[in-house]
Amino acid sequence: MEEKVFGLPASILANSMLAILIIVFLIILFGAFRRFILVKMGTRNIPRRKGQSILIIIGLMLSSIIIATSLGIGDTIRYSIRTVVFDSLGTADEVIQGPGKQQTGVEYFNYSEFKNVENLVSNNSNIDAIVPFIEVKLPAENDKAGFAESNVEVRGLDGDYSDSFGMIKNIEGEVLSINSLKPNQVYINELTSSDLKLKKGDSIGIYPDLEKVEFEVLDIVKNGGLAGASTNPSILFELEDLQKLLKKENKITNIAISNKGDEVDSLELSDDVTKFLRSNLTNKEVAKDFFDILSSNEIPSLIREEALNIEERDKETFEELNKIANYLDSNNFDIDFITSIGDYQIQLIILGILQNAGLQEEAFNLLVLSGDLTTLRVEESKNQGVKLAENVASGVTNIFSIFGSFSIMVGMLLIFLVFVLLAAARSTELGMARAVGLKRRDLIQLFTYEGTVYSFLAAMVGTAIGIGLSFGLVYILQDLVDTGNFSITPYYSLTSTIIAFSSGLILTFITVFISAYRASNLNIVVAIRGLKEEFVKKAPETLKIKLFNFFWDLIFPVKQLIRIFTGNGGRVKNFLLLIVFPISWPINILMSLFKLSGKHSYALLGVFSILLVFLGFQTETFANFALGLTGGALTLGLFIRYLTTIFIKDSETVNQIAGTFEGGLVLLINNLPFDTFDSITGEWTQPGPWFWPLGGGINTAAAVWLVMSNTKLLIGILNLILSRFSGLKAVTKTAISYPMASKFRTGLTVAMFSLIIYTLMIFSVLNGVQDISTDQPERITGGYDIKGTISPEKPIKGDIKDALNMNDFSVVAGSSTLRVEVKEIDGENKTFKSSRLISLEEQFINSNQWRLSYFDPKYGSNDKEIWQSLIDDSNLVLASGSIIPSGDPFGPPDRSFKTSLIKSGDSKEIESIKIEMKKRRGSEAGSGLIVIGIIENLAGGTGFGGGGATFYASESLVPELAGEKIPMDTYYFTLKNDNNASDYSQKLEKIFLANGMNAESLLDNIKEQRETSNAFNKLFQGFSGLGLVVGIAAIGVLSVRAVVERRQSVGVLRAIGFRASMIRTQFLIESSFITLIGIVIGILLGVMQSYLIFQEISKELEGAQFTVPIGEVGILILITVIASILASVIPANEASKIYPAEALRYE
Amino acid sequence: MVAIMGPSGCGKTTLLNCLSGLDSIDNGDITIQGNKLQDLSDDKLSEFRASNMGFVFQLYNLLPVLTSVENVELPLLVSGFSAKQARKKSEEKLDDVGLLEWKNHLPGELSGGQRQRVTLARSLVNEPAIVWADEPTGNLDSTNEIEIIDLLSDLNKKNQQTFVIVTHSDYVGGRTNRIIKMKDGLIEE
Repeated sequence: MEEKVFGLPASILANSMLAILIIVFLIILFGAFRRFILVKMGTRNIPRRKGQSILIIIGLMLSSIIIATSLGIGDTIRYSIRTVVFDSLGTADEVIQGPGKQQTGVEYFNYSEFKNVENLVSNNSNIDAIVPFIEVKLPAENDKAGFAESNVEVRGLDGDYSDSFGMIKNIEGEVLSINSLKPNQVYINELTSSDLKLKKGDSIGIYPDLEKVEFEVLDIVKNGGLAGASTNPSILFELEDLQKLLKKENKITNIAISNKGDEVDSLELSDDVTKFLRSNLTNKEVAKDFFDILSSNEIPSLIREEALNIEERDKETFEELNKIANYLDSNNFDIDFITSIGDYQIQLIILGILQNAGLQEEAFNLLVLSGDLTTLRVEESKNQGVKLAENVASGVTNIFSIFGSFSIMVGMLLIFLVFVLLAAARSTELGMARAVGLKRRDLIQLFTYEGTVYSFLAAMVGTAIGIGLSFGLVYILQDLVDTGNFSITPYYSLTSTIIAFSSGLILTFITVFISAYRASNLNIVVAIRGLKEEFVKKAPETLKIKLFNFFWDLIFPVKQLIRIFTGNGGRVKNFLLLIVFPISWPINILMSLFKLSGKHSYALLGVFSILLVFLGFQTETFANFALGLTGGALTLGLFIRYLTTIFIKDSETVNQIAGTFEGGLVLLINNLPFDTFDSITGEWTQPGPWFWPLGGGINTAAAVWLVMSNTKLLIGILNLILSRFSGLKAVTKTAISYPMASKFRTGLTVAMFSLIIYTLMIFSVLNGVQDISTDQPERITGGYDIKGTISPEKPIKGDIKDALNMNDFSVVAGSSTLRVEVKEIDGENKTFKSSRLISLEEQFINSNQWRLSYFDPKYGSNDKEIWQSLIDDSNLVLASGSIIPSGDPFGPPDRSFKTSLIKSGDSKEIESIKIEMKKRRGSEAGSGLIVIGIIENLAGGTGFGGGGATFYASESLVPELAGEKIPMDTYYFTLKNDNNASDYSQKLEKIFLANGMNAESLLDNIKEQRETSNAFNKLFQGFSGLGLVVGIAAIGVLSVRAVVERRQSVGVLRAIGFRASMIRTQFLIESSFITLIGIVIGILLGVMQSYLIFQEISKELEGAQFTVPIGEVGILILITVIASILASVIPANEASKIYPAEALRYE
Repeated sequence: MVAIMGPSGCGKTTLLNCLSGLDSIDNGDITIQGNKLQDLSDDKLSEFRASNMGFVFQLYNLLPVLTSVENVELPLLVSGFSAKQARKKSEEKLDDVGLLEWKNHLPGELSGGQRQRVTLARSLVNEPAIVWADEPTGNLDSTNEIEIIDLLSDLNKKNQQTFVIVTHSDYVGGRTNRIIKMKDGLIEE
């Protein structure tokens, strides 16, 4: 499967980035060779100011570090999961299993089926080897040493085939044969040997049913492949011996298929082999009947319609349905059709389509046919494992890069700030250069050369650090997840290195280029004289010229061709602009429209915003709608600016009023409760997680704009407060006034801090909200102490209580599980989807403390009464929270049943939902049931209803639906003294060893989960906090620059009596002041945003409390302020050492 | 009023800087009001300047980010005056130089002559015994030059303050009580 990064194929991304990079470098090289003097002028400052250069490179590195880290974590996780997949499957690429009709337990099929498959594949050149085997989980123990394992993987291999399938070696490396095993002998793998403390020749006890049978360990085999994964303890039998032991003569559970070639080649063949097997294991006549039924009655177009409906939720099924419709339309009955229709979920969907369209007869025929369609299922095991690795890895990469994108933004702001300062520092020099004949584009080149060197060094160092950091983080992750034997192997692919290096470099480079362009726009006279106004104001163009330009830009490519032809404005430049016309054309039209609208350019923005909102309605996407609204708010602000300029002449007052409205309105519109527009946009596509950094960026920019527009007010307030401290008056006055006078650079720095603090605040606050498990653990555990699961094939005979000392327990309650299919009767989801039904003992219903997030008041006025009504009426069921669509952007698509009648955020009292439920793959009609309530998602935390749709009913429903008695498989225990839950769970495992019981202390589980999630949060916070380093670097750069710029002022201050220490204090106050504004804005925005998120969470999480973790915030402020003070200590000291006479002489 | 005159590079500004304690001296003594400046620590010297000296420079040297009145009151705030007192005294001094109505303007919004008058107000606000002026009219046209010198003479008479002025201008030199001429780092007469 193709690796993906940020949703794009990795190799294509890497190649195109590399190509862009090479083109950019070629252009730069071309320019450099033409005028090498510019390269010299541009780069001479790098070695001259080493300290400054290093500071700049550190700042520029950040985007490379973050991208490299995100990719590295993804790579390592992908590689590690793949390793596990290859380790557990060995040479097996595909696995064939029974048809999946069995209700519970392992499904066996006849050995003769294997013979058929063997015949089938004997002529297929893609297949290397096959082996039939039995795979079951059984309890095993080492009686002598007193060690036991409730779930050991026991495999019975057919020795005639297994030897040629993949080698089984003992730990000395000698090849072993399954055929060497005598009936009372087994091989065990290394893990079983170490878990049960068994050596060669020891005796191992195995429980095929409730009676133990002893075997001799003939040898210890290496983990992996047929010998079982290194994560599972396993035991190997000769097939016939195991068949006898399990009383399953002539039966097997699996056939493993190995494709030709090495790991990679065999994986590539997997698609073909699977198709071959599926089509040949499908009854072609039945498939043809299927085809004929589906070709009639406009069914293909119905299938297409349904495909469109589910496109967003499930891309894979969408494609599969479309393919089927295409085959039907083109009357093309071939292997591909057979393979597609062989998928059971697809059959269910098509059945649903027919039933919904009222084609009952066709539906019935299909249902009957589907039972005979396939005899065996073919799983693309290795390919699916690799796909899983890919999904998890790209999910992790996405999460890290989304959290990192805040820091990337901050990094880009720093680059911009650095270049603004560099330009300011060199304005006299550059002005002189312009005066003696350098053109504006020469200045751009000059800066670009310098920037290229910085970016190149930064990207190299950044990528290297990022790779290292990713390995470090992965190790921490591994510790957190407590993965048992899942070992994480650091890995970094060349593709990722290229992507990290090029994307970091390209991002830096774009920012450098924009800054260079900005710097080149200087006015020569202003620059030479070192005056404040840095930029040229061109004489305004007349309306006639503007109109003329606009019409020219409408036919931009023609204009460029004419320009190239006449040589007007540089042929190379015009040619380049023509090449990129898909980008340059609209930009040019926009720019001339902007010029044309002049003072009324807000109207232009208004039009675009309305268009965006309209587009939102058209495509039903919330992102467009939200961006349009933000644009609208800004338009209103700009309109107010226009109005203010008419009535007020003082530009500062105009800026204050207009800036307040512009920033304020954008803030307002972005901080409305999330459900404000729900009545309009409720059903629309919600924006992906990438919208979050964008929203954060907009919020921060608006807030900083608002604050920086009101510096006058801020200075007034601060002076009022600080004038009380007479000792600091003179110092603070100057310390505050300077940064407030350079609004642009102060604003940039403030924005960096606020953006990062904003993210960290959201983390801190939400971390506190989610921590409901400490206060009300019973909402997760249901009030039980231990959960025990057993193998349904080895049920506990009689009443479980007879085997227990009931003086220790207050509750022991059991449940049984049945795999079912469910669809809505009234809602939109009328296709049967897989689900689980759990029947609960009466005592279970009476004793559990799980809460309901929704219920129908007709059946009771509180949770307790609703639970009770399950006992009274066996047609009533409760559902898990997972039947409500969640839209989790990171998880894999959940294909189990979802309801269309309840949305998260609905009020607690709902109307009950009618559903139809039937046993899995059952051809009889389903039973009508009523869902009267939904259990809150928290209950899923201990596996109760976790993962996929689950329904809960009274004891009688499961046997009723299954048509047979289904044994209990899960027990919940409440101890009278819950302090010894962990000890007791071990005790239970021992008592019920023969039943293969796995028991766990639920409170211990919660504790572990809480610790893990806290640690995860800290890790993400740390990762997001990387941006703070940049903010602090920015403060350092600013301070260095301030000292240089203000030498004379320092001289004056010293002359009128400022002591050296006062100068130092002034600089330190200045930097902490900037930092503090950033922190305050960040905290306020963060609290506001997390409150909005909290409101959403609290809809589903009753009793959640909103608290701001004051301690954590305090530490955050303290660390940040101290760090920024430290960053400015050296420059501040420099300033304080300036000798007054020298400073006054300095120009 | 004393003028120090001489060609460029003869050491006028260096002499002024040494006399005012802005620069250190290699040998010799500078005694003002019984204090030997070379023996004072940097902090003591700063305090001494804050309470006994005022400065006017050619390039105005106002802090561009503070308003006129804020610039003027800075020496008082350094000397520990309360904000209220400092504001009151500064406004009086601005009134003395005729700029009270410009008190809330930033230096960038004032003309050259006005800026120099603000500098003058600042140098006088702490009622120093000596005001050191380095080319106070160097950047001004003749009308403004006359205005500033008139102002200096008035203050000299009214407040009995000493003005030591480094200047190239014969007109300014002519208005002082004594002219010290320098050449190549030495006092000629």
